[in-house]
Amino acid sequence: MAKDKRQKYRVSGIREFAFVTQTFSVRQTQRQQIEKTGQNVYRVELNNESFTGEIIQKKQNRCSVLINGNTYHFQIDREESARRKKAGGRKTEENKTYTLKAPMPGKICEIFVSKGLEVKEGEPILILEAMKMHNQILASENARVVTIHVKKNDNVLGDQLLIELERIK
Amino acid sequence: MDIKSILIANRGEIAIRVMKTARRMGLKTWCFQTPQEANACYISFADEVIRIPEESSATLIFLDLEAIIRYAKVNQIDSIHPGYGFLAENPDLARRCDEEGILFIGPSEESIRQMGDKNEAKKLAVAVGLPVIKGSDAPVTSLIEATRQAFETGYPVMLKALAGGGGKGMRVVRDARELEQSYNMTVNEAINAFNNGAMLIEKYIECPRHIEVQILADRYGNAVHLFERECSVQRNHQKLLEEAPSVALTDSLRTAMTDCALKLCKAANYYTLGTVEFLLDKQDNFYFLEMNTRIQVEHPVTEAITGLDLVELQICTASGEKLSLEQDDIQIKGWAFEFRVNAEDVQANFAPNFGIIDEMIFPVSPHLRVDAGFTAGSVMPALYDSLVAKLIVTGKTRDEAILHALAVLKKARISGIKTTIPFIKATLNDPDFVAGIFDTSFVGNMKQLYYQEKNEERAASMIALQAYLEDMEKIESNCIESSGVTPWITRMWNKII
Repeated sequence: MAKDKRQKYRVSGIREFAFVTQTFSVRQTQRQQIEKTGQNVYRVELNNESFTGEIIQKKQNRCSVLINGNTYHFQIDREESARRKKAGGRKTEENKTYTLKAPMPGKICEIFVSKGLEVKEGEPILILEAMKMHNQILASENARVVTIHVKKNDNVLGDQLLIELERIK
Repeated sequence: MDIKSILIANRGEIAIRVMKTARRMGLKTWCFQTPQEANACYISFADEVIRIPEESSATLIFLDLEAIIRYAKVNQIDSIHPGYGFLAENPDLARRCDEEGILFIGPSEESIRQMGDKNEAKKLAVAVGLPVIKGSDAPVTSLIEATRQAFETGYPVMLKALAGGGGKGMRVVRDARELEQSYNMTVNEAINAFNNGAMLIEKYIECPRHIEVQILADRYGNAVHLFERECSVQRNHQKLLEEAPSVALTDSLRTAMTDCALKLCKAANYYTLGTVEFLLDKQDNFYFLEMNTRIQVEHPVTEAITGLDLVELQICTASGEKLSLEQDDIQIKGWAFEFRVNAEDVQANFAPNFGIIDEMIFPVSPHLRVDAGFTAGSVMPALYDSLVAKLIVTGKTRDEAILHALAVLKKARISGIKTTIPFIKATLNDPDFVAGIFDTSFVGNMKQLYYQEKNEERAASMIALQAYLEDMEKIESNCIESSGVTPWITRMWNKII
């Protein structure tokens, strides 16, 4: 128990937040209070405003919270390790491959690309049908197709890996 | 025709809506219990339930025309109400009802057929002098024809499935280079959805408002209008919220549009409820778009401002009663909004977010009517549309209705699924929307589609950290639970993007 007396944490989502914690709890002040009100449910008071949020996913130091009908995804790090990661991050940023995932569950209607083909940013890669609407999935940057994991008429789940691409300059 | 019983060939909130009125009118209500949704909410509202056996679950009963007729015959049910969607605008259902001596709660087979064919409807509109959008006067069935017609009309053009509806099978084409791909995609979509790939090509009206007029007519040529509904807040031609009346209409414009709607209705010998849709451009020119021959999802806003029960009037006019309302009896009282709470993840581009509704609470308010097809504990099946509930909020004025809506939404709580409530809040907090300055491009131009309270993300981050620390404490004290996650977390696991 002695290990976590007083720590500094960084919680990064869309924005980044810093908190001081004390013995396994966010430090409470008059303007910042937190209380567990149910399994996975917490109430927060911030500057006299009240929020109720739920933990909807938790895996190691990643955590997703549903609050006012919106979801927020966070990565939680100790202050020191957050700083270390930032410093080291720049070197590995030159990641050449990226993946195309299904933005929603549906059916693959058409695939416009084949292995090895080069696509330009904004060009259609495939058509995904969801709720009877055809959605064009476009290339987000100039790239070469490395692997195609689906075929025409496949049913796919949301977030399913569809295509792997390699960035080209 | 005196009817004693009614079969609702539909599900969800509209089945409940129809059954409530039908029961009040003394009709025996019947509905289907399907294997796909055996515990659905709507079933408990029916007097009699027809159980669809498991083995016939390959086709949806709501789309199986002959089976619906058969069940009605076997159970000696007098009338069929189709609701909206499914077979509501299929002329064959009306025809088969006629042939079997069952009363179809809707217009005649001919009216549905005529209005369902966009080209026929447009021809009739032109014949009675309604303004229409310039474009093809015959269905287009090939790319060559499409190219010629689009060139003649002048880009940008709108591709519209001849048999389309509900916002499906429509696409804007900005220039000739886009035409081939857009044409093929729209035709494919139309064949899949309506089994008819024929297209209409029309001049695309930039940033119009979408305004529709509710009409009501009997079988003897008497017709009244129930004013307009403003439905400009749309995404991919899907309405997200509606209101009545519309801020865009002056008295003279309202008179002109409602006159046109009635003219069309009389020319078509139309009876029961119908909706005539118009586009209104920046210069206050309006154009006939299409006519819907069913009860609409957004009918409650009209009920709210007129004080009428549209389902009751629909049943009465269908069964041959003479219209007792005169136009002067119908007045606009106050303002009403309808917000569609859909099981969609606004943060993930409105992707469907089906699942179990753990909690669903709306505040009790004299300004709020909730039409919901589900309650807490219900499963939202992925098979159907994503509508969870419609919130109808009223006020004496538009501003007052907006304030009431904000108060209602602040207290609304839904968990287990993500819904469009953050989008509705974002709309109600948009200064242009509040000022009444918006059109169909509104949603596309929104800077952020979901509303965030100040400090909301900070509060969320605090919760995330607290939960993380609690886990750390458990690890350090060696008393971690066997799974570490609740079943609820596992359920949501794959739905978060």
